[in-house]
This record gives sequence, structure tokens and C-alpha cells, in this order.
Amino acid sequence: MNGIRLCILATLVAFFSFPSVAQDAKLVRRGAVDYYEFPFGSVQRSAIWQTSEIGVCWENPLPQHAPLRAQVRSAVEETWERSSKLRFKGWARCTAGELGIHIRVSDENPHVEVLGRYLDGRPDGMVLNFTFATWSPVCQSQVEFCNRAIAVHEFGHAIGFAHEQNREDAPPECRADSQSTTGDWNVTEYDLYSVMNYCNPSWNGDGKLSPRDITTVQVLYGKP
Amino acid sequence: MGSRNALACALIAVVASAALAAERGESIFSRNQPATLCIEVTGLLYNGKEEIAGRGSAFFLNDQRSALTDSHILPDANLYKSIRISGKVRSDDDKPDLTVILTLKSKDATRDLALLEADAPIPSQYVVQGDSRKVKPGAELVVIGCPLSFGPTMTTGHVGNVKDDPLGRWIVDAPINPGNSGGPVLTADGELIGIAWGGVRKTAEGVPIYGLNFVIPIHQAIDGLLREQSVKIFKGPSLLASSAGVQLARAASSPPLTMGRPSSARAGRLAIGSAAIASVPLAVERLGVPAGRGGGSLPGGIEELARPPIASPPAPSGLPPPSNRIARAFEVRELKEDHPSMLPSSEIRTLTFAADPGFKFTEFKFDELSRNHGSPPQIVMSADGREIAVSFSLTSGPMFDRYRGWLTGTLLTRQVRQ
Repeated sequence: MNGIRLCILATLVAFFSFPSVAQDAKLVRRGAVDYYEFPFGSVQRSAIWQTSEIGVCWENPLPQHAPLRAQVRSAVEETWERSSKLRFKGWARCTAGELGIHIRVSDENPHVEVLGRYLDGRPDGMVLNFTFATWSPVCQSQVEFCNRAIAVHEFGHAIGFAHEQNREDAPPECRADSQSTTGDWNVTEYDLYSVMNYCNPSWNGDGKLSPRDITTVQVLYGKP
Repeated sequence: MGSRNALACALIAVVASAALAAERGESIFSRNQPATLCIEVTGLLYNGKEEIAGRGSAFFLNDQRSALTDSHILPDANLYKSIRISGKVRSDDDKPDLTVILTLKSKDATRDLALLEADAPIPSQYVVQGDSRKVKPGAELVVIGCPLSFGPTMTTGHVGNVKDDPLGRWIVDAPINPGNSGGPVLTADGELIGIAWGGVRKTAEGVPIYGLNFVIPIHQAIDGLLREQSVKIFKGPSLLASSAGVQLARAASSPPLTMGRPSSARAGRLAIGSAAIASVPLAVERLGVPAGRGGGSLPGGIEELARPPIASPPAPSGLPPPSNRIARAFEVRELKEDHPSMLPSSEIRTLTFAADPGFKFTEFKFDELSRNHGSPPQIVMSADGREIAVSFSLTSGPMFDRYRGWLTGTLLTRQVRQ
């Protein structure tokens, strides 16, 4: 089973991507001293939502995908919601001008367009794959596992989490997988077992939050 | 008694020195404040709300449209449905700020630089380039920018280190605060040498760090982003022509001071690039140098091109017949940079431009590009339409504050055959 998951990891690592957000402070290592450099534009850009109730809607829900949509909702409830004050509301078909996270289902690499609150009201802000026909066909034999693990990872981005392996203090072999943005706030120490870490020995942490994922989401959004 | 006199002299010297330094600082600030923009970026989110997405500083270059800043003051445009970059310019504390709308023209993410472009020509001052490659540790510097949400503010300090930053930035001790990013960093003589970037506030362990800020040397922009975009920084009035795509060549002899436009074979010429004055409605066929100031070495180190031939080149066959109406543009580029005494010195200059042989002027318009310590030009056309005189005064600073006076612009004319 682990072999299959590693294989899936190797396949998926190359495809997960999302656009970057600017990083305000940069950790620099110089000799034995680490320090933070601050470029002095005065606005700190934060992707953290200012509310714990976040709307979710589906752009193109098909009847035959109802069980898969339920899996996504369930996976999010069992992880991010259970560990924090976050509550995801709605989950119906998107209406014109609706706020919240807009999910489009498409047979392509799952991703978010941007991190966190910048998804609010953004059409096709998150893309999930329910068929795996062309992207990662290996998931066809374990759709529910892939669907849940991907949902947890993408909803991590949707609440502002960046890829853990991008961090300055990640091992070089993991940083080689750096994708898109690097977070501007390292809430905990580096977490190999984060659902946001491509280097996690279990692909997407098997869709289960690590203790440090839980600490982080509670720092950002409060304990349940 | 003698020691008292010596003490009194020393005190006077200290007070005078402080007064001079203060006056110099005032002069640098007053000259460069109108070239500094306080940038505010507003982002429209997909949820319909607007927010301030970035703040910082920038400064105008000399093409009346371009401004340079740090790219990190601009947000990732992908985060927003749209962004609006506005810049406020304060030319005079008694007047309302001028608001300019800008767009991002080009970005150099590696050096953290961005070139902005105003949506319309800005009749503003601009910075004058110094030589950042010659800057050494210990050099005094002046930082102008817009910390937090304040207007243009000046701080001073010294260059501390120019070698050790892997990105080639300088370490300086001048205060640089949030909002200063992208502002001009000047020498003690007011010449641009860098761009404020940011600094170190603490170690990873939380130990506070003081006086360790970074400046991007201006040559990083000149060698990269500005070269790619064919935008140059003003080195002095004499470089204005080349910066606008104009190259200057001068005749061996000075044109006469007054009447009678020299023939094209003898006159200095400006070979003008298409972008130089493309916005003016006149068809520029040839640009003359002002009759009153031709010849000699050019201020500011402009490179003289090969002299034009003495004889006119042969006209190619099939040349169309001469027109009865022509347009001519004359470049005005005057600089006063002598500092003969402890007082500012002024002089009135008059440039006289002659109509083409057999033609007379019918219309004229002066398109001013830049003026520093100079009066607005008075332009008078003679009764017979054969010449136009442009008069103005220029003032240069005293020995201890060596500011320069200049006027640059283009006299646009129309002529008809007599």
C-alpha cells in the first residue's frame, strides 16, 4: 500500500501547483546567524480569512458526482473543521456573485488559483478532479482515498497554508520540490508530516492532519 | 584673550557648518521632493471589496512618464480582480498633491525592481543620476520616501558596506521604514545613487537589529530593467537628448549669435529618434541647435558624434519638390553649473532661432521638459517672422551648495515660404 502511495506521490508532485503570493519577510542564513529581511512596502499581505465561516459552492455539480462531493465535504469536516473554529457553509451550486470558495470539477491537476481569502468569490478558484481519466489515472483504483487526500490538501491552501516543503528550513532534498509561494509566517517548526508537504512519506499525509497542522490551524482560526 | 578668540572662532565655525549642512539638506529635499511619488496600490478583490494592497515610494525618470520603484511594493496582480496604482507628488507644501495613475510597465523580479508608467505625461521634476559604482563605505547619503502613510520624508546616513550582500545591495544606516521602499537614495550632492529597499529588524531568534538597511545601487537598474526598456536616467541636461532617443552632433564652428539661420551644412544637427517627440503634432524633419549657444564642449559629458560634412549630401534622385510649409523643432538645453561665490549666481540667457532661408515663422510653442532653478522662458517672435528669441534666467548654487540651474525643452515651430 505504501508503495502505491509513494508512486502516486511521485506522480502528483509534478502537477500540484498554485500561483504565488508575495512574501514579506525572508529568512536569511548567513554564517551561524539567521535573520529576517523585511522589504519595506508597508502592507503585509495575508491570506488568512477574517472570518471563521467560509462559504463553499460548486461551479458545475453533476448528479453522478454527488457521492464524491459528499466525500470532499466530509474530508474537510473531519480535518480542518474538527480541529478549529472554521466552518464551511453552503456546498450548493454557485450562484451569480456568490462569495466563498468556488470549486470547479475538471479532469486536470487539482489546484487553487490563489491562497486563502483571495479565493473569496473568485470563479473557479479551486479545481478538483473526480474522474482521474487523464490526470493521475492511478487514482481510478482508489478514488475515495485520492479524493479525500486531495480535498484536505487543497482546502489547506484555501485557508492560507502554503507548501511546507518550500520553507527555508526544509531539508534541501525536500526544497527541491518547492512549488509556488513560500509562506511568510512559519507558525510551527518544519513539519515533515504536514498534509501540505510533498516530502511527507505518506502522500498528502493520507489526508490526515499532523499535530503541527492542527496547531497551525488553531493559531490561525482558533480552537474548536 | 587669544584663547577666547580662538574659542569664539571655533564656535562660529561649528554653527556656520551646521547651518550650511541644514541649508544643503533643505536644498536636496526641495529639489527631489517633486520627483518622489508616494505610491498606493488599491486592489479590488473578487468579493467586491477594495483594500490597500501595497504602499511604497517611487521616483520619476526624465521622460515625463516613467517611474522606478521596488517590485515588492506591488502585490501579486493575480490576487485581485484589478489593481490601481496611484502616486502622489508634492511639488510645494502650499499646494495640493498631484495624483498620478500609473501602470506596471516592466518588472525585474531578480533585482526587485519595477518600472511604472504614468497614464499621461507628468510635468514634474525628476532625479539626476550620480555614479553609484564609485560609492564607497562612509559616503553620506540621503533617503527620500513615504514611510507608513506620511508624505515625502527625508532621512540621512552613511553607506556601511558595498561588498558583502550576495544580491549586490549596500548596507546603510539611514533609517528606512515601511513605505520607504522604492524611494530615491541620493548623494550628499543630491544625485541619485540607489533605491531604498528594506532592512533587517531581528534575527530568527528575535534579537533586535539596528541600523542595518539595504539600498539597491542604481546601476543595477540601469544595467538591467532600464536598459531593457530603453529608459535612461537623467545625468544632467546634456544627456536629456540621448535619453529621449536623440543623438547630438555639432558643427565645428559655433553658429552665429543672432540673425540668419546657418545652413544645414554648417549647423549642428540633432538626429531624432521616432519616440523623442512623437507626441507633438509637428512633423520633425530636422532639429537645429540654438543659434546663441552652439559649439564648444557640451556640459555633462555628452558624447560628441562625428562632425557633419561641410557640404550638403547630394539629394537623391526623385526628391519631391520643396514644400511651402515646413515644421521645425529646436532643442533648448541650457545648463548653469558654475559656483563662483558664497552666494547663488544668476544670469539671463537668450537663444535666438532663425527661420529657414526663404521662410518665416508662423507659429511656435515651447514644450518644456524640465526646469530647475530657472525662470519660465519668455518667447518673442520678431515682427518679420524671421527669428524667435527664447529668454530665461538660470541660477546656480553657491560654493557650499552646488546645485545647478537648467532648462530643457523643445521649441516647436511652423514656417511658410515667403
